[in-house]
Amino acid sequence: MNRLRATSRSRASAKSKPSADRYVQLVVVALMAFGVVAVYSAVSFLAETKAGGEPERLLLRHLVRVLLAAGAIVVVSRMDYRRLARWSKPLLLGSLGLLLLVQVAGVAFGGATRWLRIGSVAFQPSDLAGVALLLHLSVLLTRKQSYINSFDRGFLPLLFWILMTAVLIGIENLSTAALLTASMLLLCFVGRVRVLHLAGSGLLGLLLATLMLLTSPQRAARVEAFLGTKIFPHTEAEAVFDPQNEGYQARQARIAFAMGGLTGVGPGKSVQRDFLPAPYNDFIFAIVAEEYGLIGALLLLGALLVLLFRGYLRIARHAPEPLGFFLAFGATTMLVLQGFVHAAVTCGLLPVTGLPFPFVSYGGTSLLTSGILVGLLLSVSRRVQSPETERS
Amino acid sequence: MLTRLYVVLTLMVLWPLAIAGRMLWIYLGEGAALRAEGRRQMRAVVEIPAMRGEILDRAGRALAVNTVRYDLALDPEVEGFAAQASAFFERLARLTGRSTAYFRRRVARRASPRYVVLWRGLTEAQKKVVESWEVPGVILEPRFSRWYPYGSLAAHVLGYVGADGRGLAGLELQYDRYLQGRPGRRVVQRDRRGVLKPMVGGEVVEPEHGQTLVLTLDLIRQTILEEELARGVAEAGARWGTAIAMDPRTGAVLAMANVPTFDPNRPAVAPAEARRNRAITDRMEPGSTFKLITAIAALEQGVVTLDDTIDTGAGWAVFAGRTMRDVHAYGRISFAEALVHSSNVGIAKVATRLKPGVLYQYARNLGFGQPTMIDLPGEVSGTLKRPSRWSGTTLTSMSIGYEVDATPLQILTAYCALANGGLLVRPFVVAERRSITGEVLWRARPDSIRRTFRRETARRLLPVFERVVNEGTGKAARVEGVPVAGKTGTAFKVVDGRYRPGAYRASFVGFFPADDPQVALIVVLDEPRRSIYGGQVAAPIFRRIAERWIGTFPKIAKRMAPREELPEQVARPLPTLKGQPLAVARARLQAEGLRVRVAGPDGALAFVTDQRPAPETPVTPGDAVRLEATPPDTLARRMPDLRGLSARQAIYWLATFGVAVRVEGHGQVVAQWPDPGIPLPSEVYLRCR
Repeated sequence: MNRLRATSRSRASAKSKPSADRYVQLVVVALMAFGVVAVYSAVSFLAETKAGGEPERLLLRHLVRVLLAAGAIVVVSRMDYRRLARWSKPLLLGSLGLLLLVQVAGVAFGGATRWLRIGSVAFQPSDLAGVALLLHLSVLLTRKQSYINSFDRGFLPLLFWILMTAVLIGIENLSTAALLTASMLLLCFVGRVRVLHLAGSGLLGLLLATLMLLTSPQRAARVEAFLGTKIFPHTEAEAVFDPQNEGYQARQARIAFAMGGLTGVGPGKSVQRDFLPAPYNDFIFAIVAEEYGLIGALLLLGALLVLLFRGYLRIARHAPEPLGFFLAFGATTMLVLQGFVHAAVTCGLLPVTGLPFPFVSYGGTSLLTSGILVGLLLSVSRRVQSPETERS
Repeated sequence: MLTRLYVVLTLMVLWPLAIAGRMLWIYLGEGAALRAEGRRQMRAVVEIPAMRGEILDRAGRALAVNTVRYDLALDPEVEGFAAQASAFFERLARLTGRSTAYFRRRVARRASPRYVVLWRGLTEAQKKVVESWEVPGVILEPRFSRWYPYGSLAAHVLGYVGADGRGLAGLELQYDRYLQGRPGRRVVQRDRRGVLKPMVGGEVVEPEHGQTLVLTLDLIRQTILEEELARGVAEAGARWGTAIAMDPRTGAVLAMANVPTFDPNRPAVAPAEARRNRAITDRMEPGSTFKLITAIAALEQGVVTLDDTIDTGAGWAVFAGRTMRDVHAYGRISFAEALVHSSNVGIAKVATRLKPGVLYQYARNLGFGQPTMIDLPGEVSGTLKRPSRWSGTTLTSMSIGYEVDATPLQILTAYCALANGGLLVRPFVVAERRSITGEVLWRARPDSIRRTFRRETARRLLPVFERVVNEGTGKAARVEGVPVAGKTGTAFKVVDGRYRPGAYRASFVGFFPADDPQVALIVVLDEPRRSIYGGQVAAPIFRRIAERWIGTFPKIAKRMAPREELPEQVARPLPTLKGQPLAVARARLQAEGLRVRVAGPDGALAFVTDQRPAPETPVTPGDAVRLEATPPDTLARRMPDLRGLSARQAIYWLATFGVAVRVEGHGQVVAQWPDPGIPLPSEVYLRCR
């Protein structure tokens, strides 16, 4: 009897003051835990060359980053997103400035200058710029809802910021830029921007992307490898025979899927981690599929689906005001879309790019950014008007 | 807004569906092919080398073992090497004895930019020295190599191996199949850089280590035979010499040697001539030793009895237009005397009484013209002319050992038949093949090929060949106290198809004790200069070998016990005995006929600390040798370097000193704790491989 009363009391208190969304927290913790295990296995090859043969050292680094991300979640989720939104413009301008700085003082990593080094910490400003853009677009969308159909007053400013950010990121990291643009256009779509405008800017985006492909043989080669034909005049045919080339990676990833089968080869028994480049990061989904099979891969995708449904239908839909709605939708979209694109890349549905899987991949900035996004999502969820309160 | 939210949601839900579909597509479509490719690229098969079998003498003493040697290679482009280069080259030059310029040249002329082998075959100690320099870029690669602890001892029998560890000569070649074993393999995992790492659950096939060969040879007898042969060859000024000893009853080869010889540890530095096992690869006209066959044929066919007189005239006779001479004129002598004095004329005259083809048949039956089938490679069969190809002189020539070619081993085998009562035996060198764990896999069964003549004939002929030694041409082969039967041989040597004046082959073949033959022995010298006669240069070698061997045959030694006077007393240098177990030293000296006096405790585990007279002092049998001994506990015994020994030897050695041994692995000792040089501990740890 007592116990029953206690439960009902706690439920009552939850009704009066909604706490951060449990499912989202659960999913994030599950993803992180899964990531730690998967990364431990996947870094073993890297460890042989970089950490003196001790994958534990890299695992420890990953653990620290996971904790950092968890910290970011806690901190951001306790912030009031409305107060944060007031700083959206300077935040965005600041991160765009950082992006420019990368161009000037960026440190070359793996063929692309995406990293900024401050002291001993290196990070990718492009991910942070994405968060800033989401924040600012949500603010703008909220503000322009009454005249959103207008092109020059409504959509043009939005497009301006999207383009600014996408171009600055896209110079060095086309896939991140494309992903961000797609997420932002979806945000605009949900923010009632006219479909005609969106379609037009979508076309513009395609044009821009093509331009970027034409300026970089490396990029073009990836697309060619994906399509299996040579279409660009400036790419090198020999790239096909280079073991580091994109066709090789896609094939090795497919082998990983094939080896995994339904139930996988078992935790830590991946073989393809030795053949896939950056298995701990760009191909973690393939490693999961190899070690845990179709079941493990579907669990991972299922986790994202839970995030998607909670983010859209629970948090965004019941957000107290449009800003919360846009933030929740945008953050969810960015996270989930990135995970899906990552998975699609590893199994060969999309050309090879270096996108991490949120919370699972080994990579500090990605973890931190994902943490901030989830933090925002949870921050909104704290102010959700639960269906019960709505009814009452 | 919400409508559009649902639209986006629907679009988003399509992703996982597409991904799951794609994954299924991969599994069902190209799954099998991809899995096959994945398995192919991740697997690599690594060979686990099998250890080559050891070769042991009759008593289990190792004549050929395996050791670990290290190849020193260098990657001269490694960071930090350049700074230490000159110091490194100088140290290496000091270590190896080559000039610094040599190593610099090797590095400068290397074929591969980042790899050059500078030195092969560093010992464990040398390897440690090189390691202590800590020069970057130095690569030390372990390699199993063959080690013949006694150097050139029995080199022609043992043979040698090539750099790849395959047998190239001798037993190493003949028994390569068994010695080599079968390498195992291990399936390992390979990553995209080709780096191999162990694979959990990877298939492992253990190597089948090579088999151990146990020989019929005896280390001590072989040593004596070689010493005396070398000495005899040197004294006679011969170009080369060969000696073989066999047990006439079984065909077991007791010793086999050639001079000049070579060190199988470094076969390449010796000329090909020195590597030849002339005992089985050189064919020659036997000369007088072949008269045995004529005698057997004549007696068995009844054309003559031993007592029939034969007129040898003035020491010459003409057969088919060619003159045959004797060394002396003997006049009318018995057939036995013709043999004793090796009268060519007498033997040839008897031979003319034989029907054509009979001599051929006897020679053929006694193994001439066909290989003896000894288990050594490269044996030649010699030539025995068929009667259809005989000329007018062939019968008489062949009766005294010309117009027939035979190897020393074939001649010895024929005399074995005389010794054992008429049986042709197959000579063999390997008595047993054992597995690495000591289990006997195969044992040689003495094989008599056929009866070649009646026992009665042997019984009648034996005294004649004893007389050869007692009163005939072979007097120099007489051994006091032991009856010896034998025959001398002095043959013109064929050089480039014709007899060369002044070039002879001297030989002596015989066996002892004549009444109970245990050893048949042949000694052949090529172009002796001191004297051309087998009775003068080969017989003494026979005698000295026989004298020194007798002690190793308890049965023969026993019958000599009541002898009154010692045989001819030969001064021999005293061996170094310091450090040896007292029991061993005593036995060695007593075998030489020396009296032993021991100062200090005479316990079972005592060791010789000093000797008087000093080593190398010439001593004759009967001399007294004073040994000073200390029991092991007061003697600061040092830990020896056991590496390279077989585990069994090492354990045996340590056990003699009461040291407990812990062994890991089996085979040959590759590491030991403690290191050599420290006082002997109570427990020793060995790692073997």
